[in-house]
Amino acid sequence: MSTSMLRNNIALRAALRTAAPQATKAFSTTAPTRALATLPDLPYDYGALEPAISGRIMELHHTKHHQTYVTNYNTVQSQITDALSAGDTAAAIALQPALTFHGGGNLNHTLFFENLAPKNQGGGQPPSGPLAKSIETHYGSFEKMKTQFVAALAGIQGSGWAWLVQDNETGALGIRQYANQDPVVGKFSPLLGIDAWEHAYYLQYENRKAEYFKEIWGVINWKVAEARMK
Amino acid sequence: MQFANLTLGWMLSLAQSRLGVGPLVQSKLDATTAAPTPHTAFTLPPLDYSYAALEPHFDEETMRIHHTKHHQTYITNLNAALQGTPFVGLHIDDLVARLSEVPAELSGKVRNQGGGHANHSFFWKNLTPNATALAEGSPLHKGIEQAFGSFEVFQQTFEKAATSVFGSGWAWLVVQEDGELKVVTTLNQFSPLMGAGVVGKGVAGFPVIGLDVWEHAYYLKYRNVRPEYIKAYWHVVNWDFASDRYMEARSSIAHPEL
Repeated sequence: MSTSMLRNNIALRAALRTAAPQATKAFSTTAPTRALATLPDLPYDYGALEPAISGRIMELHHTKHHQTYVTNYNTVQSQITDALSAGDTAAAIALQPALTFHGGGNLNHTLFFENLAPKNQGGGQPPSGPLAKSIETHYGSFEKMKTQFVAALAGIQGSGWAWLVQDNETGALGIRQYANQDPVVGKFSPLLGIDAWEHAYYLQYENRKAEYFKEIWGVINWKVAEARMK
Repeated sequence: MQFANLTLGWMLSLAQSRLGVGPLVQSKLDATTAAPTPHTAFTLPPLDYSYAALEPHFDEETMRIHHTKHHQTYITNLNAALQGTPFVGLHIDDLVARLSEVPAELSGKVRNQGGGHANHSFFWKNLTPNATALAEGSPLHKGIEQAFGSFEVFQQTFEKAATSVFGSGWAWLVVQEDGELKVVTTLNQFSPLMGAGVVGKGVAGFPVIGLDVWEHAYYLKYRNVRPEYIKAYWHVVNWDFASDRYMEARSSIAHPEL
């Protein structure tokens, strides 16, 4: 994650902020320190995204699902730190799937809740600045981009996310599917994510995920997505 | 006995044995999951019990939506994908064991939708409102004790596996080609029946029990608390069906069709 992204991203910094210092061990001067994650607050009420996403879903999604990723990410951090301190490379590597899952879950949900907004806070307003130009360049129009995004969401098998991403080298936009909680890292940076896990919509839409993929556009925060551009 | 290069053959023979199984097993099988007549599309098999029958463990609304929406959608999509192909009319377990024969442009769809149909067809039979404990002297109980040390350790192993699926998938107790019982997991709609070439030698096998851990299987009642759903599962496992499956797998290994 680039430093400029962190600087502009208040909620993300909150998610990664260091908790009170741990008790230090006498022999661990070179041990890696941990930044305990905490659950970032939402910038809107749980019910504020209705009717697109119900308040019941938002509350569960935030206080249960996202919180669980935060909690488990901290546990995995602790286990990896211990393994690295003990020089147990194999154990640290064995924890990578858990790190990807829980760490990715924390990252993804932090970004997701930020890139949603109630209508009265600009939710659903299409982008107008550089992001709008870039969308036009790469997709022809905002509607065409949406169509591709929805197709990407609909095509996810099992659990996953679809993201509008930016190529770190070329700056080009792309729409990509990520399985489970795999985060957008490496070659691409995340601009806008939509959670396609069943928990994101099931209580309201049941198996009618196409409806959810249609309705959620009314609460997308394109200003936040644009601020993530490089 | 060694089946190093016969995994596919074993899966196929097991699948095909379903079409002409002995009277003990046949009487337990839902008639509509017997081989459809040639060129017949797949249809949704009815449950052997009402949607409410598994309450309070599995709620009525979930059972209804799970069966009439999710499972039906797999069947609808599978039929659409297979239209006009020579794979129409196969038994579903046969089809998933033969994924390698499906042309490349169809194989993803057939794997996902066919796997979904196979897994859910199995799942409904794997559940019962009249669950009784697995008899301690029974072959399956003895097999479980042999493989895991005790029935309790098996349950803990199964629960841990079901809990730790990162995303959508299934937890299974399977009979592997060497006759041994093993707890395995698959992601999405992969099935152990798909064979080593698709799911790997460590996961391939003949399912004896299976648990759907996709969120749609438990979210309405259990929300994010998957472990509670897993614990509830033990109240509705059809151990009679599981025992039949175990005996079917064991006898197929003892008397392989060459």
